[in-house]
Amino acid sequence: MGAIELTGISFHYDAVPVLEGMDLHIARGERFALLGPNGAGKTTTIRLLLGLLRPSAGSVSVLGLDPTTAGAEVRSRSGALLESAGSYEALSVIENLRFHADLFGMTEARFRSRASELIQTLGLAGLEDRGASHLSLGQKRRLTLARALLHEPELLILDEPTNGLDPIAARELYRLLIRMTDQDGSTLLVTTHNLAEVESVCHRAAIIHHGSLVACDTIGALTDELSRPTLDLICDAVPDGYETALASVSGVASVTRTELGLNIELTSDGPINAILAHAMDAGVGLLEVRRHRASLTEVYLDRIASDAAAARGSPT
Amino acid sequence: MRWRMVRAILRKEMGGYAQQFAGGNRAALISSSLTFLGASIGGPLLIGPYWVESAALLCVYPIIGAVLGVHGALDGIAGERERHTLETLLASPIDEMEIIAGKLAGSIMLCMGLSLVPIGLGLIAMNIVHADGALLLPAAHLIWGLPMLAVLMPAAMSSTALLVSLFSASVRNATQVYGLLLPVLLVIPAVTMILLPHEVSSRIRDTVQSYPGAGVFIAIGGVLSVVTLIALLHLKAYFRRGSQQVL
Repeated sequence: MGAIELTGISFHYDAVPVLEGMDLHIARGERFALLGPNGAGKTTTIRLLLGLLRPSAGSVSVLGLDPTTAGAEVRSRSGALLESAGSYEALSVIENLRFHADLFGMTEARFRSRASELIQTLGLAGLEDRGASHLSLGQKRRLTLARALLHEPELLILDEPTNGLDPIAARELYRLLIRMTDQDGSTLLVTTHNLAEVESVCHRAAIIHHGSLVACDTIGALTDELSRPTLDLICDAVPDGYETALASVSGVASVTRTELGLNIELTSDGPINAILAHAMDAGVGLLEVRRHRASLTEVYLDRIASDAAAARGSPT
Repeated sequence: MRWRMVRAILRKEMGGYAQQFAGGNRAALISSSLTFLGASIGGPLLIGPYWVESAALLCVYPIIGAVLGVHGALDGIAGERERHTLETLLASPIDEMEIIAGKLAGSIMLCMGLSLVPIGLGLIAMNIVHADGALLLPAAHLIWGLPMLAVLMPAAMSSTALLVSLFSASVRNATQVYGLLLPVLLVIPAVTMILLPHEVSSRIRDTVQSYPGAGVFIAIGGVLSVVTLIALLHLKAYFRRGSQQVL
């Protein structure tokens, strides 16, 4: 049984479809990213997982439980940072955390040790007694994050966790999340628009658009699938007409002469050694070789554009 | 209903009231407290011993307490929604009715404080200044009737306020709606009495006046309990996860 199983999930706000027949499986211990433009249905998916909304059709299973019937159990074992989550401004940082600990039935000793650890890790040290209304935007975000992580949940659901965080705090947060999930085998579901974070943190990602999944795979498979790998050969000399000769090498799809040298599109990852040997034999003055793969951002943009074009009924 | 959850909400609500009362400013807290104390003691002393005997005067305290305290309940759901804390609260294992119970308990405790503390202070002051050796106490039915009213009046007003708050887009909106609703609820009985045929209204008036004070308190308590129950049943029906209007 996976951590999250969505089968044929549809959800309509009044008559407006938000999710349409979505299937999603996330294994326990996996770090998974749910990507998509604003309004794609990511937040609705999270609300369904937490039992805050009921699906119009299909079934939801979280940690082996149905959130519509065993919502309290699902929520007690999950930690959620929801979109634009606020904190109680009349309470101090520590009072906010204590309120959350009370809701999750934490003992005083466990609360103290866990709160102390998170306050240090998330850079809230020295702010424990400060009213939440007197915190900066980034500090408030850290407080809501500390709240989500406080009770050491089996499943972490973070909606845009690094919004309002500076790059150093964002990096520290992801290090903490990787450490936590690696240590205790907890599962992470994260939504973000920062795709570089996803590439460095998550095992798999899904791209959601107009309420349907348009891609779901490991990060490597997603980037491999988009385009053929390419090689950039930076050269100080390329013999005239050499690109035609190189194009005949097995595994080379096309060769283009550039200002810096040659751009070679490959049909597979295999023939790099053969290409380099061929180039050196032909007298190409090689200075540098760069191998290029599609980034997750390129994959994301390509998939969204393809889906939008398909919806309009035209090819990309 | 888990007391741990209700207590957590209650503690948070009381912390919020303390902050609202003084705006987090110690000087404001002291001046507000002094004004409260002055009004609690000065008012009864100005009126004199009649204050102790008058059921009408003493019953004003629970009503004022409930009206002053109802703002907390109006903020209860709409305010959480405005501050983006409601969804996080609902993403915890707490039951919806535990949230309502905690908020209602907080509001009732605030209202009880605002009504019973001034009555107590007024009685102490009155006995010091006007007693002449004899203990000045309200009539027996007021001794149990006032605390009852101090609980049931805010319970009815706060539960209806929470219901208004649930269906309001903002605290401002909730306050406006409740501000309109409250006079209407108070005016309707008076207008009805005027519009009824003279014989009928006279008979009602005579019937009410023929009841002993205790009977009137029991009747009012009954009406307030029914209002509270109806509001709570509506809250149970509409304030639940899965309902799109909650978020």
